[in-house]
Amino acid sequence: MTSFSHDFRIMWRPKFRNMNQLLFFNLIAVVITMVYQIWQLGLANLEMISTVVGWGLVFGFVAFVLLTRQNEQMLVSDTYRLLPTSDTKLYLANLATSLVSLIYVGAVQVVLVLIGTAMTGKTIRNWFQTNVNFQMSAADLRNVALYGTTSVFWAVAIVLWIWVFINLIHFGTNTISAFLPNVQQRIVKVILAVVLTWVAIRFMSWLAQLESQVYNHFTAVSDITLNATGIWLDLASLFVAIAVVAALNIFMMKRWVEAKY
Amino acid sequence: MTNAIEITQLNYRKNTKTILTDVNLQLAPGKIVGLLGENGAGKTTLMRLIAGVAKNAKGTIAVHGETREAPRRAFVSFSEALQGFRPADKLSQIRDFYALAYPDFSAKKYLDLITFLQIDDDQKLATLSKGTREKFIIALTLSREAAVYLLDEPFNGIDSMSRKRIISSIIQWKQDSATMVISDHYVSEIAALLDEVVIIKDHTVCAHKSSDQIRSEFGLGIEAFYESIYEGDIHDDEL
Amino acid sequence: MQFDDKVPIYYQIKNYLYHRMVAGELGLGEKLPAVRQLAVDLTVNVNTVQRALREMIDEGYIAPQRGRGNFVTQDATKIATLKQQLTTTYIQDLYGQLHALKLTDAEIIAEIKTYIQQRGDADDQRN
Repeated sequence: MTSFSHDFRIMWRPKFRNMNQLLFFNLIAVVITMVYQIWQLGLANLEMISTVVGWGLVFGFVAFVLLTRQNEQMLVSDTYRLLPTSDTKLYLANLATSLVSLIYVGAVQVVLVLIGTAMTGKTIRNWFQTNVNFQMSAADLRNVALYGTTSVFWAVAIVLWIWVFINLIHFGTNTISAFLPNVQQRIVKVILAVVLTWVAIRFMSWLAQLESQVYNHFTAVSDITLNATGIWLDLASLFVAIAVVAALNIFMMKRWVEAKY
Repeated sequence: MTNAIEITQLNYRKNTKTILTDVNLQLAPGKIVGLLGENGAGKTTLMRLIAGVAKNAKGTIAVHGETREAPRRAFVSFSEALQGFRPADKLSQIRDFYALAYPDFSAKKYLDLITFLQIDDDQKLATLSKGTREKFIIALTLSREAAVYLLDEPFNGIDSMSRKRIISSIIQWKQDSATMVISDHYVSEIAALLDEVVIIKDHTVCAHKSSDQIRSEFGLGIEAFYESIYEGDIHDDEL
Repeated sequence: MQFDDKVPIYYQIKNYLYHRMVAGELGLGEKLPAVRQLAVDLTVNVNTVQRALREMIDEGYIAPQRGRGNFVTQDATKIATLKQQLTTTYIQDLYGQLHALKLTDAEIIAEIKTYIQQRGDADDQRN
């Protein structure tokens, strides 16, 4: 039996390779845009931030989609299901490697932005000087740190939630098809699809509501501390929801969900 | 001595259809066993249940006494279809995966096998012909020093030269103590290879005999024995 | 080598080795190939080769030497007896079949002689 860290290494490799391939194209896109800008505007007026951020958003989204797909496929392929490890470890290693891969892509984007900033330092410094007041108090700094960490946790939570939720739909329909004859399967799948869509919509509206709350925090500086607890509480409940759905997925995987062949 | 594979009262249904009922089977270590039956008889399902990738069966499956799924998988080398890899992956990358994933993977055995089977592992998976792909799957499967090998229809749709090489590599590289189950619905070419034959019919094991027993007791070749069971010439009470 | 699927394979392997010993292709005291090599050469299961060899060891045609492998017996009379046994078996078979065709003993001997003569002529012409 292999350990979780061993499983992590096994599942990390193909995702890492995929992400590197994607980042290679990302870099090419940035360079091409840069060359085009130099040719159009001249070297002096080169402005790299929006290029890097723009492409970063595009490729970040593609990375997310690719990882979502890979996250699904690995759990139902013989290649991975045959590994001498428990379904629990396999499921968690899969989720962890997908997350770390996405974080890796994000980190590379940050590095690219930093390089871009260095290349067009003048613009940025001007922007900071005119827009940001560097005379921040300790409390302000603490708030910035708080918002920073909160938003990172939020991003992680939402990504994980989407992945476990897609797993749930996938495994749920898979489990049902193991029990029902083909005709009844279709009816149940339709019902399930409707229910799950409803859940997804509810989740989205809850998220939108939450977002407006967060936005209010940033704008209405006065009651930061008051509402911050509420946000942490929501975050905690989302993590609990993720854990519950993940546990349900693992349970279905152990009992019913087979690899496709 | 512990049996390599011990299956008791195994039942498996899918989509409310019965696939296997009341399967009981004991296979001793060191044997090469032919798993025969029509297409759709449940051969693949039985192998997948032993390998621990088919779920929700009733009954017990023990591989070297181990009934829990995850540790059981460590004993079993199953010829999987490589669906977890991308078409653009090089064969050497797939080897790396196996070497990392399975502690019993032998790099030397792998090298001997691909040399013998004439496979260039610098190729991409997508460029392989069906025969080469099957040979590569066999090379990977046998490169593990497992207690049990499960080869699911390894000779399906490949030319006779490749088939001969695969058979030779099985003879040459299967450890003496390892048990090997080969499923097929076309027997004549592997008949000389088999110690025992297990025939699946009507969702269950309807015959489990040693090859020599078939030849001396029934005076039949394995192919003929298998056919007469399917055509009903040999009745259950004669087995 | 082609096997008859209706006859136990170990039995056919034994026969094959008997013939090679009698024909001198495997000389007295000669080392036999390793079990696995024999299995590969004959495209049969290692266990089957082992069973054939084990029986031949019990019969005294093969002498195993610890750590060195299997050797054909040094005993020339043993092989001579084997040759006699095989010859008798074939003649019994042939005689039985011709006898069933109602040939007399004299006719059988005459037929065999004629056959050998014709075969000899055919060989001469080819040469």
